[in-house]
Amino acid sequence: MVLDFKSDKQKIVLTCSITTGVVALLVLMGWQFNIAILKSVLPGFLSMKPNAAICFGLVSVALFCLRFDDVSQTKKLIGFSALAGVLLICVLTLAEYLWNIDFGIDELLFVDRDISKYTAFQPGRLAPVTGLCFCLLSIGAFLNFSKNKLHRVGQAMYFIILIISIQAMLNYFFGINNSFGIPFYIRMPLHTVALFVVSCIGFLFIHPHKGLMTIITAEGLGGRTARRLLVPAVCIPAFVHWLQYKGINLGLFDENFGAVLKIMGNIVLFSIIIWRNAAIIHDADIQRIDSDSAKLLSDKHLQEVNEKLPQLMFAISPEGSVTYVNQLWTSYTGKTLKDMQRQNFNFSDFHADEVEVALKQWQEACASGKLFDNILRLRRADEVYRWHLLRTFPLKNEKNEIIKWIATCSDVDDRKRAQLSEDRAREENLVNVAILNSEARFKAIFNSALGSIISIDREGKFVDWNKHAETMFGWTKEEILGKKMSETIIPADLRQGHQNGMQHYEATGHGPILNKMVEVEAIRRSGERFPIQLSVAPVKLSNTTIFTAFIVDITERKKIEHLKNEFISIVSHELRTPLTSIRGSLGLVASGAMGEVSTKAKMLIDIAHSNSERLSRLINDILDIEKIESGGMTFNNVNIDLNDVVYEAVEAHASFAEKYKVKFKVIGNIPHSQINGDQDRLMQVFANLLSNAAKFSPEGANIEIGAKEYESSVHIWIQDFGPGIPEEFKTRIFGKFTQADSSDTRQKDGTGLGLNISRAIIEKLQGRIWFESEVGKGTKFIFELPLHSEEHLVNPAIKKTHSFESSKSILLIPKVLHVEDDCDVAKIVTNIVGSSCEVTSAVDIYDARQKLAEKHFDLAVLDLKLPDGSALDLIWLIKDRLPECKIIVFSAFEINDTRLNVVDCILVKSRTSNSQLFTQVSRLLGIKNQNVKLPA
Amino acid sequence: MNIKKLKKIMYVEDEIDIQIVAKLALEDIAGFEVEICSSGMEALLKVASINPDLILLDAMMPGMDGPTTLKELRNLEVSRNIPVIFLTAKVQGPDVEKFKSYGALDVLSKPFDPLSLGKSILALWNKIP
Repeated sequence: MVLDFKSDKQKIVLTCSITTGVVALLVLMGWQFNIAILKSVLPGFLSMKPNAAICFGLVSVALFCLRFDDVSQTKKLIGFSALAGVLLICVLTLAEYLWNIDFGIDELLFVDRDISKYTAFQPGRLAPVTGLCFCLLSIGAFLNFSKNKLHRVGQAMYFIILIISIQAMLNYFFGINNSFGIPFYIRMPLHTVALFVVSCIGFLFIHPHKGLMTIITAEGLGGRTARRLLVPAVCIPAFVHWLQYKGINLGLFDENFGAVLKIMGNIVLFSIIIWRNAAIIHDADIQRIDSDSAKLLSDKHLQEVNEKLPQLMFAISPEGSVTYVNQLWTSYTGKTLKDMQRQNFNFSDFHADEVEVALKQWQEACASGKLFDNILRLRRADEVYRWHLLRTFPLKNEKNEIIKWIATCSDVDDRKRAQLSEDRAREENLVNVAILNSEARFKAIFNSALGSIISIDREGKFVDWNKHAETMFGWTKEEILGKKMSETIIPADLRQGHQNGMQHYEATGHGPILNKMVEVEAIRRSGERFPIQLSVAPVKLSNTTIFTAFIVDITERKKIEHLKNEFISIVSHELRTPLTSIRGSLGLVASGAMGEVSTKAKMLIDIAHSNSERLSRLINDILDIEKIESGGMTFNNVNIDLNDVVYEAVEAHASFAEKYKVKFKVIGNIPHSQINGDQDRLMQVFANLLSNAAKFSPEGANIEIGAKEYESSVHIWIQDFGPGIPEEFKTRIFGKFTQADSSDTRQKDGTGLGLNISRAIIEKLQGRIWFESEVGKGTKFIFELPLHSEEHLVNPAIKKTHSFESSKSILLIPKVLHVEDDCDVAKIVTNIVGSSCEVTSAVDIYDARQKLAEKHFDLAVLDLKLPDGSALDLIWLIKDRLPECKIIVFSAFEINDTRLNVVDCILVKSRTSNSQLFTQVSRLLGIKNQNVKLPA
Repeated sequence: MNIKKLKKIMYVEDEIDIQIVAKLALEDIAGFEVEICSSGMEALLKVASINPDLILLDAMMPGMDGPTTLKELRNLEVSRNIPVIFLTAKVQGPDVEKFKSYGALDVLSKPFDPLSLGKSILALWNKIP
């Protein structure tokens, strides 16, 4: 048991004071109201004299006032006055006894009516021993407060009082009435004795750390032992003796045996107490041995060592509180151990920037028990931070438990600062170089751009203006910055539109001209209006948006366009006008309607006539090509019956058959399918295909024309049985000015533009055209047109949203080009996708190019490694030729190439199952796979 | 079907060569009666006296061009209802639509086939309701 005597002391003293005071008060009340039990506690016992009660009252007051360490002067005065009163009363009383005088103080207040039968002295007078005790008590208290070592004498007096009191008490227990044989020894009343004990204890505890009390209140083993032994030392002999006495009195045993029992009792009880205490001391010893290392490194030891080290040092308990700081620490940081102990160690003396990280590492170190190094900024007493290496390491006992953390701080400021500035310099240098580079690059581009680059803010004011803009518009950068765009380069009639556009962007974040190429007009400083091509990009900055425009002056281009249009007009009119006369005249003469000419003249006239016709066709074709390329070809689409159009075409071009002596033969029934198209343009396609077929057929041969309706499209074909298209010519067949094979001896008139125009027309009608040809056997041209569906006419919007599905999967059977040199893989892939698509296989790049020239494809599946090169080269060809065609790369290797970015899907052979391939194909073609059987 | 028989055609054309060829083709081959005017102005002056069933009009002529001539013809009481067909080298898509919008019956292109020109005109004539 360890008492906290600092606070308990006052409680003990206070308790003693109150007990004494209350009992004294009760006794006085007993005297006042003549209540025997209050005066003597037990009937027949001695009563406490009024003066004794008064003295105890004064003692109580003294205890109450003097119970604090640092008593105020007033309280001290009251306390000591009370004690002086006690002393006065008792000295007078003792004097009465000694010299047999009566000062009249004995019955001053109350008269003792039941005169003691034990005393021969004045009734109501204090017993001499009581008076003596009070004298000792008050003198002892004075001595205890003295500054020199007289307090020991004071304490001795208390012990004398205690011995007297205990003796008096024992007298009661053993029924002894007279002792010492002294004539004026008078027994003290029981409660007087008790109050002496109580007040003695009270006075002793006013100074718990003085003299003899030191050992009693010590926290160490000595104190504990003393406290433990003192009470039994008093109680055991008394108890054992009392037992013996009672036993003899009751006749349980005789005196001799009683003595034996008493000795045995003492032996047993003391042995038990000694054993117990020995055990406590033994445990403490073991504990001390256990924490030997701790002892060695006790704060005292540390202090000795650490005060001699040049480092800042402190110790932290495993719980986290600082238990020690060295002198250097205090002088450096200005923090004493007390300051540090206000809270658990939390890096509060280090720079706030590093505390969070350091705390985390510290917690980790605490958990793992490992050394913890950190370079942190430590705050000096003058608030200056310097970099320190903080090293914290644990000290462990034999059980590997951490008993203490030792922390040292070494100043590494110079080194750290040098390193930091070096790092910063390097970093800044890098950043600067990067900024300079990119700025310089940007500036170079900005100012050397072949177009104007200008920027405006959200209010429409210029914030950027490059060199080119200066020449283009006539304002220098300095002049224009800050001016409004709408008041400078935008023509008056376009300003409102510009305002609306800006407002629209503010409101919605979208602009009709943003990120697009648009052609508008602008004005120069001179007021000259000129056409520009413009693209505007909004640039979102941190707090605002600017609009950057790239502007190209297209005055020259417009002039050239105008010239071209003029040229076209000249071609169309000025060439045709004379041709009209020539052709008309020759036609009339050749017809014979103008009279007979000689045979030779007729022959020449015929030549001239047919060439004039050819020339006029050529002019028409050139104009058509121009129209297609400039997007000027208009289509007047109407609903057409396929049967009608086929028969009409065959009839209208019967003259070709006649001329080349061939027969047009319609095969099978031509379905009355409804298609949507321009009648004239379709006839143009028929004209080209039929005339080609006629031209390239031997005399007397048939030319077969057929058509078939599919689920969502119709196929129309024209088959000749001519020489076929030579391999090397196949790729160019739909090109411009591609005339028949030069080795062919037969004269074939034609412009070489027909198939090119036909393909353009068919594609405009959302169809496609291709051919199948075998040298020596003939050629079959096939074109496919989507069936007219109600959807097309009723709601064009719907058609648009489903354009992919409708044009690719519903209307037509998807066409797949598979480029693969391994025949087995080719077969497998054909099996996988062939159930829902038409698969064309190519074995190498050359083959693939030809197939691409002949046919339209919806999907290309490419093996990259081919005998004649890499299929990467095909990707661009496909994207250029068939922009809608999807591409799957199905390769044995994984290849990284930017060209693969445009590819829709990349599959690696070894990692792709048949079903995965099929899924990808279906996904890209938009095929629903319910009706398709997947080959095993 | 036009119940009236097409007999007399007035042809407005500045090129003399074409005038001759067309006249031969339409008279000798097709059997119509053809009166020639060499300019739009001449056509306006003569249309009352000629009183044709149909007018064949060139588009690009010096002075008054075809479309202007057509407009002026429509302003005259005598020629207001006479059908007009353009015979022109300018047969780009937008032009055809433009000519039709001026009130022309149709557009035939140059160079023409002299043997079938009459048939083409008659076919258009017969389509007039």
